[in-house]
Amino acid sequence: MTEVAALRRLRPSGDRTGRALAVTAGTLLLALAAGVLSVSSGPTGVGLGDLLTYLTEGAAAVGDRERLVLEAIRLPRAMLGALVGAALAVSGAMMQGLFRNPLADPGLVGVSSGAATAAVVVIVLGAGVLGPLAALLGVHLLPIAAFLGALVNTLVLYRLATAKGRTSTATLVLAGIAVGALSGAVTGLMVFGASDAQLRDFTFWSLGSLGGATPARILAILPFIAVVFLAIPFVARGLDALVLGEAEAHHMGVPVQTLKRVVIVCVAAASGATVAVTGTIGFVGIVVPHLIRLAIGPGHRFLLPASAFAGAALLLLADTAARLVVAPAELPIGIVTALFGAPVFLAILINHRNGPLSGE
Amino acid sequence: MIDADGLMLERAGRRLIDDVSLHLEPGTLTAVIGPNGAGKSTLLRLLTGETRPDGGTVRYGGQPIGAWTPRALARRRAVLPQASALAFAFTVHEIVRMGAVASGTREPDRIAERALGQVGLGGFGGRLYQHLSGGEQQRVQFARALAQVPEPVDGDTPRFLFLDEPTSSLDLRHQIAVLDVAQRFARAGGGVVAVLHDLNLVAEFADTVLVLHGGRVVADGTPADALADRVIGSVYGVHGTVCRVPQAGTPFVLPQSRLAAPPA
Repeated sequence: MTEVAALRRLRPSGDRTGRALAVTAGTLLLALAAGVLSVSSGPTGVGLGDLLTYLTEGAAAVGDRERLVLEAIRLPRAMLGALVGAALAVSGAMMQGLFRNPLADPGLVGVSSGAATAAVVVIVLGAGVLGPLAALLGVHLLPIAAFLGALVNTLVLYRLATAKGRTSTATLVLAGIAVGALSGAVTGLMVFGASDAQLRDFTFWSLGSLGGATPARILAILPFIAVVFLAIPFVARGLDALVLGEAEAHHMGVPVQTLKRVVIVCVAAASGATVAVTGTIGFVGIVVPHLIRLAIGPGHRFLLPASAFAGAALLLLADTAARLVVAPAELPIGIVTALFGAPVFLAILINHRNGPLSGE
Repeated sequence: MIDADGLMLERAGRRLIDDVSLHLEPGTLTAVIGPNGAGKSTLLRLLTGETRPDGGTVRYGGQPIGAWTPRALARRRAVLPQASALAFAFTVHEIVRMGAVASGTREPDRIAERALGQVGLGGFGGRLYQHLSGGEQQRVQFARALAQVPEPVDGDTPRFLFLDEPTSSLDLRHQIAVLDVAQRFARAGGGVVAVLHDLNLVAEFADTVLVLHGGRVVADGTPADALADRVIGSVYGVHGTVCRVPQAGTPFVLPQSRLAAPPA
């Protein structure tokens, strides 16, 4: 007790490091719990008991059916869900830092549409013109294409919405609509020329689903997401300084141009990779960082990792709900995230309109 | 030591800065004055490395400014910008600490608290920046700049503070208090460059005055020399405002005195 009190005295007022550490640890635990819940629930009757036996006594201790459900279906799906949720939340938080705007979200301002367009182009033309490329890159073609599509849209958006280092919310959102509409038009053209089988692929995928989880797909997007996570410690201080303004960040020794390039590539990599495997899943990137900021403030050193954990937890829970509510069928997860995400987005908007965003 | 030689900057066909050369000595507080649009803030941007000049050079300790990494430059000079709003809710402590971290210190918390105390905001660390008044926000930013150059002299290299209208949102007491801190920074061996509009504060606190007009230096020297009615009258277009304190001869500016001025 005395040690805690001594630490309290040492920490100056206004320092939220202690709370940030606690919340980050809490989000990590939450993500682990959500992972266990996700793996142990489903319509097949394989439950927590089987999972515990599997984990403590080895794969041989559970029946073949249980083992198959756990290894081939639920574990990959939970891993994919955690990765995608974390990537969505981190790319949202980074993008909001880059644009200095709490409403910037890859899903809302057309970045994910760019990734989706590139992905659809690859799906439709993969059997034809892009055949040799598809043969060469295999499972990696889709994430790479989605990354490039997201990158193009992020760059265009940054050029359009940011003048003299300031981003206006109106320009950002309107430019996002325009960029998204253009991408949507290209997507429409592709769908127009698609075969029936491709169309079915596309429809299923565009609603957002973790259903396609296979170890190969997880491995295909892992490098993209890993790069973004590894970048966190290197961009956190710079993003903090950038909140004060571009010139101010420069004065404080931040290599601003390099930072912006790295962050743009990170946002594109994370949102592109997620779109490639799960389709567009909205609102995670805006809701999670917003809630974390309310809890621990906007400092990116903890905001980014805590958002990653909370994003993973949120998507795992949403996916579990999507699978259970209408079992044995499942809801597209994009619907679940939109159901709670859209109201939170509106709340932020109203808050923003009535004055500066409150951090307490 | 900071030297600028033949600085020139053009935007949209207009010369914002035209052949400005200057030499900033450590231990002095240099005031930059001039009418709106004279190029004061632009000159500050060139001197701090925020904007690259179209002609001429800026040197820090003999090295061209382009040869400095942003991080190394941040340890030699800090900048107080004109008012800025924040999109995210940082606490006062978190903002000032960013400056302290940029200074390279191992004790950013202590440096940040000291800087807040220097600007009279001790105890404000836990407040949210955006809930403060304009004047308090300006003093927080000043504290952030101070925390970035916590000692006026680092080893034997002087550090510089660039202040762009540091008193614009402040009441009388805090105008004096902020310039007092700046003056002490200079007395202790650092260099201070401040864009100021209040000529009376310039007369009291500046060691050197740089008068800018149309992007050119039209006068520089001690306040007694630079704040002459001839200079002020031609630059601001208002004559007969400069008076002198009897005996001491220190200049002061009283706008009403133009009404009583005898015809020239």
